[in-house]
Amino acid sequence: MRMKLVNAALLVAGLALAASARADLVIKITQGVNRPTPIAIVPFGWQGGGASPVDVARVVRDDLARSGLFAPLPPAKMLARPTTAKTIHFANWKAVRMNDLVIGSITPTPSGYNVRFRLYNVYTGQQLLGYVLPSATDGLRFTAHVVSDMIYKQLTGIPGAFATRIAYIKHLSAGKGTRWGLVVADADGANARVIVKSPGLLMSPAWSPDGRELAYVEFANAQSHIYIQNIATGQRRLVLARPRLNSVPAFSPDGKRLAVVLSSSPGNPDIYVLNLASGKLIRVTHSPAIDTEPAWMPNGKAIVFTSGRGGSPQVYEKNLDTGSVQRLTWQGSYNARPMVSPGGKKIAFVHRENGALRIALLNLASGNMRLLTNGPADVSPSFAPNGAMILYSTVAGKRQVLATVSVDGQVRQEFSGTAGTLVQPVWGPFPPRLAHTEQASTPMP
Amino acid sequence: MGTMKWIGIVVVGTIVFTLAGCRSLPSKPIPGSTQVATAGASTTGAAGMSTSSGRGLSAEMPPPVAGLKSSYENRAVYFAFNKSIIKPKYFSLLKNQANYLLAHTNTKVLLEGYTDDRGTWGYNIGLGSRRAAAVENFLLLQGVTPGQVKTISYGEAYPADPANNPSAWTKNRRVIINYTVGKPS
Repeated sequence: MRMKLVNAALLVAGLALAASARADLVIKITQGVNRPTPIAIVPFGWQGGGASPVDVARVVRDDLARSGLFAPLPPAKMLARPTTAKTIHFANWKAVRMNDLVIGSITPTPSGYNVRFRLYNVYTGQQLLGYVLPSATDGLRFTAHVVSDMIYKQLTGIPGAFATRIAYIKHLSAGKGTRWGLVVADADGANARVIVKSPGLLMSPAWSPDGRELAYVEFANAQSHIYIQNIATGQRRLVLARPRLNSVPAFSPDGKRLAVVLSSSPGNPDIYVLNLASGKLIRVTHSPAIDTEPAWMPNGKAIVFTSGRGGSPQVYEKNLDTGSVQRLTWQGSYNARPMVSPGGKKIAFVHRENGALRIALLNLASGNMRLLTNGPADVSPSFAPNGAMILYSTVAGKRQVLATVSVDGQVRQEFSGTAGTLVQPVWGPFPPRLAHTEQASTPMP
Repeated sequence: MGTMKWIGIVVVGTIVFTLAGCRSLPSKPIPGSTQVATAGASTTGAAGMSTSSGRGLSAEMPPPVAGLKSSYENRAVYFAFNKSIIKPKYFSLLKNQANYLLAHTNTKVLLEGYTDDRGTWGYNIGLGSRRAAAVENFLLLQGVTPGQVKTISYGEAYPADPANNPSAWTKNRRVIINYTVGKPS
């Protein structure tokens, strides 16, 4: 696959996620690689009555197209639609210049479904993957994303992050009543669900490492509050509501601590770490300048953060064991809101230059900084759990929308909602149920 | 005493700007400020105000009015980009506010810190907090009782002007002295 920039919007402009009635995001790929891998994903066979509740092949096709690395063949251009190994004629797929072929079938079971799929190299005829994945009754769409993840990993070498979720803040500027919402959606924008509605400002959603909880800030009665909410049950607990500042929570990698930003001397933001079991607070930063936007290194022993201590906002790292502080960003006069890559080797942050806010990526080993986006108002970067993409907030036209960019800067897409502005997106971790499903999946010879 | 020293440094270090257009703001409703229109009539403070607030006014300030609480511009302090230092041009406005609060010790205010949107959400919450704290400190140094003053930062949320241009940014980098403490935004 040759990786070169394509300037024009292409591939799947305006791809509507019509498969789910609740999908309220529309994804548009604004930049992809110039020669995405051609792949055919044949509509899966359905061995139940009526129609399959989810078009699994379509979900997989949309996932792979959205990555920007693949060009799935539209079903209308398929010369045949095999659903079993025996009925494949590779000549049919060579004729339409496919590199790879995916076939599959769905069988109802007492507890849900079995999803079978096989991935082939069209030129060699070799089967690259073959699995049976059990799916819960309401989990067929999720299982489809798992299929996408497995295919993506097989063909790119990188684990897929399609079977993950994102969270973001939705702001409705018009009308009375609820104006702010905290939304959880699948990584493709489907199944968007408002889990918190508030007349007051909602801010700074942050995922727990197991993906079951979100910490966030809610303003009510002229007071900011940090809550932790269980996504499945909707139950929440108040964690902090101290005078003045309660902001920017970030779970430690073990989920036992929460980095937060509180007021030290009156009004001055400093970073603290709250032990969630004991309630004990430890102050981490001590500068008289703004210290904020904490993010944990994966080993839980250091926190990177934004500080104005040098006269302008820059990104620093504090070792929690030794107390030593190191400045990480040196280019430009505004670098803020660092987020650490899953492997801890890179930091994404917001870089301001000539008035434009852009997403930048810093390689910690080399000190090399790259700008991944063009601005002018790109903020709130967060890594996909596979480290391959960064989700962020951008302005398209006059609307605030969500977008993703690959860490090499080559593949970009936008998510736009049907109403309101979408801000402060955060990409969730690999869900525990994914590991479960992978374990339960059975290879097919 | 440590605080006195601090404000001294702030005054010396302040760069005076001229901000054309600052005074022509629309008195646009902001969160929690919807009842300001009734404020002037609600207390006997209006009469006492004209004497107390006459002190320390410079020629460029709006004339002292009974409705200190009701005019948006009498309750707004604007800041330079990424700064939380109070410009000297706002000292007399703040002294007026302090005098009002000294004369009305049952009145409480919420100091709301805001920023423009040219930065990150987390940093801007911190910046708004420092702006609100700077105004709070000024009022306390004038003798206002700490219990009369509460601060909050909304960062870049609730812009006074949602446009994306220098004029709007200037209007959004502000602290609003809100006399309707406790009302949800």
